[in-house]
Amino acid sequence: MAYPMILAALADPTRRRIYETLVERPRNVSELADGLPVSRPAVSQHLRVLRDAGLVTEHRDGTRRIHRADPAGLAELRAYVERMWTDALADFAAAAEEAPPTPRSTDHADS
Amino acid sequence: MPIPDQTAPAVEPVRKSVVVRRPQAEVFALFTDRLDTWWPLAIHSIAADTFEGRVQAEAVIVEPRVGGRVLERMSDGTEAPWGTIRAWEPPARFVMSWKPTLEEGPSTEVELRFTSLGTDRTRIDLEHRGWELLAPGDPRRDGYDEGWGRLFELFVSLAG
Repeated sequence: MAYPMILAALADPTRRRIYETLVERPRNVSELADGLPVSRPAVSQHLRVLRDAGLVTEHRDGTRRIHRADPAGLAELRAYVERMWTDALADFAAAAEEAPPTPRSTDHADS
Repeated sequence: MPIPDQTAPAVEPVRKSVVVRRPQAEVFALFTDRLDTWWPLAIHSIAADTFEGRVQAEAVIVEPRVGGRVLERMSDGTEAPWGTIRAWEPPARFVMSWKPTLEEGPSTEVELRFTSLGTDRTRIDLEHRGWELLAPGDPRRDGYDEGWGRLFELFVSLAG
C-alpha cells in the first residue's frame, strides 16, 4: 500500500527533512546526522521507514552507504490515487447497474 | 531545489468520469447511502492499509449533511474518519475532505458531480484536488513544522 506508507513516512517532520535533504544530493548517515538535531541511530531508523515506503534507496560506495531520494516514490502517490478512483468508479458502476431498481427508498426495501 | 513560493500553483486535480445506466437520484443514493456495498474496502480502507488483515473494514457511513463525517467502522468496533462533508446537494453533487489514514497530515478534497443524461443514465465526474493544501502558508497546517512545501514542489513537478 504505497499511498498510506508514503503518507506515514512523510508525516514525521524529521523524516521529511531527511528526505528533502537527500533530494538535494545523496548523503551518508553521518552527513545527515550532522545537519539535524538527532542521533545517527535515529537517522538510520528514519531511513529505514523511508526505504520501506520506496522514497529512498541505499547504495554502497566502498565502505560507505550512500542514501539517495528516489523520485519515483513520490510519483507513486499520484499513481496510487489515479488507480484508486479508477477502481472505485468501475466497482460502483458495476454494482449500481446490478442493484434492484429502487435503491433503499426505505431501510427494509433492499434486504 | 527552488524555495517554494507562498502562493503555490494549483496542481492538476485527478479527474475521473464514468457513465452509469441508472437515473441520477438513484445513482446519488447508491453512491452515498450504500457506499460500503460497492467500495473496494478490502483494498482501499484504513483497516486494509493499517492492520493488514487483523481488522477488517465493515462499514462506511456517510453522514448526509454539511459537516457530516465519512466514517469507516472496523470489525473491532474502531471508527475512523475518511473526511468531512463540505457540500451536500443531492442528487447533483457533494464534496468531502479526504484523508483516509490514521496518520497526521493534511487533507485533500474530493468532489463528485452527478449529471443526468436522460431518464436512465447518469454521468459521474470525480475531481480529487487540493494537492496545493500540502503547500506552505495554509492555516490548516498550523504547527506542522516546515510543512510539505518542498515535497509539494516535487509532487507538482512529478504530477505532470
